[in-house]
Amino acid sequence: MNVTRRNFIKLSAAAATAASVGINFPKNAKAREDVDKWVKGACRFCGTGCGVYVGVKNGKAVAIKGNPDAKTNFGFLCVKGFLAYKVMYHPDRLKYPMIRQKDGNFKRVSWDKALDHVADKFKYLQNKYGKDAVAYYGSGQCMTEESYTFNKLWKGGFGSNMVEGNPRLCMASAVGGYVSTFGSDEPVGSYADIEKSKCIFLVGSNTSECHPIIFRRVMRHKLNNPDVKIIVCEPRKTNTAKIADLWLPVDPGTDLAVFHSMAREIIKNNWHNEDFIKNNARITDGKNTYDFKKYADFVDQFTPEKVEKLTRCPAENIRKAAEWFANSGATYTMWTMGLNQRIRGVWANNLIHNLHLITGNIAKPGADSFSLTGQPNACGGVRETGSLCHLLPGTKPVANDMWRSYVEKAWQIPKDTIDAKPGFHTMKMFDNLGGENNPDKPIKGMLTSTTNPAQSLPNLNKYLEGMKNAFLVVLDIFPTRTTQLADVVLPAAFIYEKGGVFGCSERRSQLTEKCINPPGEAKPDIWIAAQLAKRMGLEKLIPWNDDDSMIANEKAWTDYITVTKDTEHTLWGAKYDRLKKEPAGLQWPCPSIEHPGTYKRYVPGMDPMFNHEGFKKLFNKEIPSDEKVYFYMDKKGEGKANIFLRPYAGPAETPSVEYPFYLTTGRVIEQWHTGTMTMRVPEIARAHPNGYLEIHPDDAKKYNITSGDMIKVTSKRGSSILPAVIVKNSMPGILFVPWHDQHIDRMINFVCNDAVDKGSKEPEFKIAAVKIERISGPKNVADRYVIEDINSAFPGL
Amino acid sequence: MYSKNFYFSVLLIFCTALFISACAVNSQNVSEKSTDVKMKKTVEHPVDMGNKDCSECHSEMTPDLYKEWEKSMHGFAMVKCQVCHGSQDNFVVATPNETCRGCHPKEYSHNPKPEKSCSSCHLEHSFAYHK
Repeated sequence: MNVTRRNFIKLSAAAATAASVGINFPKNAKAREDVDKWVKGACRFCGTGCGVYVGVKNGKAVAIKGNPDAKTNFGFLCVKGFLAYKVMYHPDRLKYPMIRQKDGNFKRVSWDKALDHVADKFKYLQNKYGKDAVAYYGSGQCMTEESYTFNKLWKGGFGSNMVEGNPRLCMASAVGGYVSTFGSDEPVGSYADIEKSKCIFLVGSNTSECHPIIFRRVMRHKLNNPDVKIIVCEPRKTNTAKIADLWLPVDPGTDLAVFHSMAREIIKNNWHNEDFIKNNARITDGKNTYDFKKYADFVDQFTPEKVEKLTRCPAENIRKAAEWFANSGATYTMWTMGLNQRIRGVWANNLIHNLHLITGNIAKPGADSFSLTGQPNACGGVRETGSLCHLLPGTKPVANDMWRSYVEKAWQIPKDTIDAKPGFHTMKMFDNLGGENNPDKPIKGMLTSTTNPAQSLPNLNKYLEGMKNAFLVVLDIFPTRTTQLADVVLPAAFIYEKGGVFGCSERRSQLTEKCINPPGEAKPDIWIAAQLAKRMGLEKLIPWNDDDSMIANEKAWTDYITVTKDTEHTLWGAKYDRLKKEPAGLQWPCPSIEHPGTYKRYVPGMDPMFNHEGFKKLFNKEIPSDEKVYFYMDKKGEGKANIFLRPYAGPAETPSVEYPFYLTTGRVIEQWHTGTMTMRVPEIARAHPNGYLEIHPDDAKKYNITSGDMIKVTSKRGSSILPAVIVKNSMPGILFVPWHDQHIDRMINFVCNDAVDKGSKEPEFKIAAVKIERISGPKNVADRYVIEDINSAFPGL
Repeated sequence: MYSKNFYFSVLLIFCTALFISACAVNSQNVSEKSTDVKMKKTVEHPVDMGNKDCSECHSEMTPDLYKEWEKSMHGFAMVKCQVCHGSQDNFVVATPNETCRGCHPKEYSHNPKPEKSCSSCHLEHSFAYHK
């Protein structure tokens, strides 16, 4: 039916009029409850940690509503969280264990057969090639109990540190920043500081799309308090910048110079806080300490005019940002991947902390240097349980002799069971993954859970063959690019089908109750882990081999909070029965069942660790009681944070004659990561049904590109073909592609850079030098492509 | 001039809505099933949406409406058309209160007039507190 605009409006108006006639609902509408019960939980998606209630009717999840008592979202949800229940009922759900046959197709098998097969193969590979021949690659979307269990199985059971997770790809630089500056991972403050702040600095974060409910809080705060200044520092002028008073545009990877320049302006104008610096910070290059003059002299080279030439950020904007940052009274910074996914990610984090330390904008209401987590349980599940190759529970290094011995004792395993040597970080792990016939690849097997590395790794061309040739076991709920390379696929339960704890960005752990049963024979990860442990002779180490997932979860959680009882991350007061009752979860440190949780760390009277005798004894801490602020995790034992002298360094790749553009990638509000869930919800899939290339009108004109034209974007590593969207969001010379699209032609991670930060080992997803070529006129690629067939092959492999 | 189909569509939608309205007003005990049925009958998107994002057409076809939304809290927070109005298969013109409940659970449970739709008092698309 062809519809003109006039007809369209008339039809719409008629429909609306008709509907308005029928707006009276039955008078007993309030009494009519459309669900049998509401079950408390947390949102499945980003790291905000929104509290939800899942509506269940006749054993089926039929609705989700926000939890108005939650301290994170106050009842608000974004479209992903609101419609998450629909994901569970998509016909593509994996329901039965499957083993790939010689003909290349999967065959349904019993759980016993699948688990026996995996356990036998793992034992065979470990016996033949050593304990590190089988790796675990987890996710910031697994439950805490699941990550903890796999971590314990590998490190305490196999004696192998080949344990990694996708938070390495998103949060590792934030961990590195917090640990190097403050001596301990995770933020000082909380989201509650947002409403107390006078200036909000959003940097390297498209908050409105990637953390929409946090953005709503910022927006509401600005609306109620127009004097609050909002500064956005981003290469793209995103939706987030709509509420900004000041935009600092920068070329990707150059913002270190902007941060140093802001520090220079602050010091030049005497806006710094001398007392705070003197009492609570030291100047260091990581080796030696210096006086403040050394720092002032160091940043003096970053004049706004010089930095403008380097970054394209207007000098005036830098000056204004410095003034507002320093003089607001309470400045709160938030960032995500724009700072973390960089070869200088740790340094970028350090420099943001620097600004807070020199102005005293930390450890006081409304002021904080706050890293927003990308995933719902990267903090709680992976960082805090230490489910990375170099860590143990409590975010402490495996190389730390004292802590390793302590964990061995807590786990009741012989001394020296845990390897003191860290395993391989994610990119190195995948680089060393391969088949038995390849002597250069020492890792021969891998179990992945709740992640899709065959689409999400950068520079995919380098890693796909290894995944295909190795013995790959995949736990997931849908067919993905990774299941296309798997040998065994184990159908997993969704969060609301198993329950468990998520820990969000603000140190808050929230428990989700099991709401419904999983479909078919799908099982919770914790059951799968325990079954594998049993088959590999480690049932005593993982004694939560229960069919009831909430019983198993409680046992694992109790084990975890026991190990970390005397750390600064203590959740000893967050017992399972308490978490079930708490409407908003609990923020660590939470050392006892009477403790309400901690809003602000390092402040006496607010942070319980000042009086935690077990902690002070175990870690040999002497904490004075008369300090207003004391960074007690300072490695030098002086209670000070580090203001780092970090030299300027740009990205691994900058535009050249051959590759004249910057490419940056990111998410859009409706789509989550590789789109395996969100692309299966019709209302969500309709928005952004395909990837696309954002290009500035000046660049489009230069290349004779009109809207919708198909563009090939190529880096040294690979290429993608995407339709052009011509927008002024970015400065000329900067391209943007969202990375959710599963279609092989539009999987942008073939193009992304896998160069890693030396400290955090996090890859520089955010910046690649690329060239573009117009391939054709517009094509309809709005196909909402998803991999439906578990037997479909990965193209070209 | 409009086609016969156009006038027929308008008439059909209006009559259906009137019929439903009468049912709703006269019945104190409308079953959930019959409520669902009537909602479905009022809810057909005038054109095939294909795989397009709603904004692709509505930013041009209903620009005033679109701008009103864009300037609203929902617009700033990117609560887009399909969140409230659904997709092709579950399209609704008048957003059910149960959809609003997703983000406004407290307001939903405190609604002084639950027999009315939220939009009876809160302006559609601009979402001012009260009309």
